[in-house]
Amino acid sequence: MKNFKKILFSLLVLFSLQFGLGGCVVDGGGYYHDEGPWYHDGPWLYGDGWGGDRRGGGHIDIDIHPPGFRRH
Amino acid sequence: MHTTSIYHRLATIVAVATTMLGIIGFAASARAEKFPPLNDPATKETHPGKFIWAELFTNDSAAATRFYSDVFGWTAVTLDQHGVAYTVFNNGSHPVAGLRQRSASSTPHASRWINYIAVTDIASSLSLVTKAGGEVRAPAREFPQIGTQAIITDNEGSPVGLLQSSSGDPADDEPTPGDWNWFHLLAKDPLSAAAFYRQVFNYNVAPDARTEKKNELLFSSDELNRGGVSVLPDRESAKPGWLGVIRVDNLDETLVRVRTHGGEIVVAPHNAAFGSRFAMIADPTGGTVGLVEYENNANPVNRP
Repeated sequence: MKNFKKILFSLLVLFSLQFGLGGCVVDGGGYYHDEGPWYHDGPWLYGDGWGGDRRGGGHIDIDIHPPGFRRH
Repeated sequence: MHTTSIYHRLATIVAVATTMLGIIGFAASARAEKFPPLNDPATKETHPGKFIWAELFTNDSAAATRFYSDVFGWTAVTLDQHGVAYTVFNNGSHPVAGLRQRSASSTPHASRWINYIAVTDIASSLSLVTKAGGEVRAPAREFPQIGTQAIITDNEGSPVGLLQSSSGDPADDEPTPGDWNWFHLLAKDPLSAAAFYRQVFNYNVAPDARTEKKNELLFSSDELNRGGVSVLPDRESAKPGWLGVIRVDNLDETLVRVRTHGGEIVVAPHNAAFGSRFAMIADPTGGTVGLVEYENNANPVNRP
C-alpha cells in the first residue's frame, strides 16, 4: 500500500511538473516558444524615416511601377 | 519530530504546489491559440523568391488593427499566445498579413512592415546573408502552423523576412483587391542591392524594360516578376527599405477611407505602368504601404 502511494505521488509530481513548467513558460517578446526573444528591438526595425519624412508635410517623390500579375 | 513525518509533510506540500502549478500551466497552455496556416488545405507548391507573408511590427496594435480593417476590409483575428497578442488579417477567406505588438518596454517608433520571401531551405539561405553583406536580425524559428521564419537586413540595412512555409507556398494566382500585389525596394545603390538579393535568394535580375533608367531592376523567379528595386530619393532623412503594395479596386475611394481613419497620403496618386494608378500611404502608427489600382481592374501579364 505504501509503495502504491509513493508511485502515485511520484506520477502526480511528474505530471504536474510537465504541464506546470511547460505551460507557464512565457516568452519575452519572442512569441510561442521558450527559446527567449526572437529578435532584439532596434533602429533596424523602426519605421521612422521610411516612407518619407513627413515632418513639415513633405512628401517623397518615388517612382514605382507595380506590374500586373497573371497566372502563367 | 520523526523523520518520516517531516518527509510526509514535505511531500504533501510539494504535491499540492506542483498540482497547482500544473493547473495554472495547463490553463496557460490552453491560451496558446492555433495559428491559421498560410494555405488551408496545404499546397504542394514551392515558389522560392515569391513574397508570401507580411507582418506589421507596431507599438499600437489596436490602432493599426482598426485602420487596416476599416480601410481594406481585412478581418482581424487576434490570437492569444501566452499573454502576447498576435493578430492575423484575412482578406476574404485567406490570411494576408500578421501584426506583432512590439515589446511593451520598447521606445515608441513608427511601425514597420516586414515582408517575407519564400525559401525552401532557410538555413542555407541564411548562411549566405553575412557573406553577401547583410545581417541576421531574427534567427530561424519555427512558428506552429506557419513555418520557419527569420528576419535579416540586407547590405543597406533594409529588413526583409524569410519564410519556409509548413503548408506550401500560395499559388501564383492573380491577387484580388485587398491582396499584396507588388513589393518594391528603394535602395541607395540598386545595383549593389540587386547583387545581394541575387546571391541570397537566387533571383534573376534584369533591367525594367518599361523604363530607360539603368538602375531600375526587376527580381524574378519561376519566370515571374517578384519584386523590383529603384533608387531611393536623394534625401538625408529617407531610409532604404521594402514597400509592399496592396491592390485596391478604387484608389480614390480607398484614399478617402485612409484620411477618414487617420492615415496619411505620403505619395499622391499618379499614373504608372500598365494603366495603373499608384499612391503611397502611412497608417496612423506610421506603417507605410503602397496602393495600386488597375484600369478597368484588368491586370496585365507579369513576365520578365
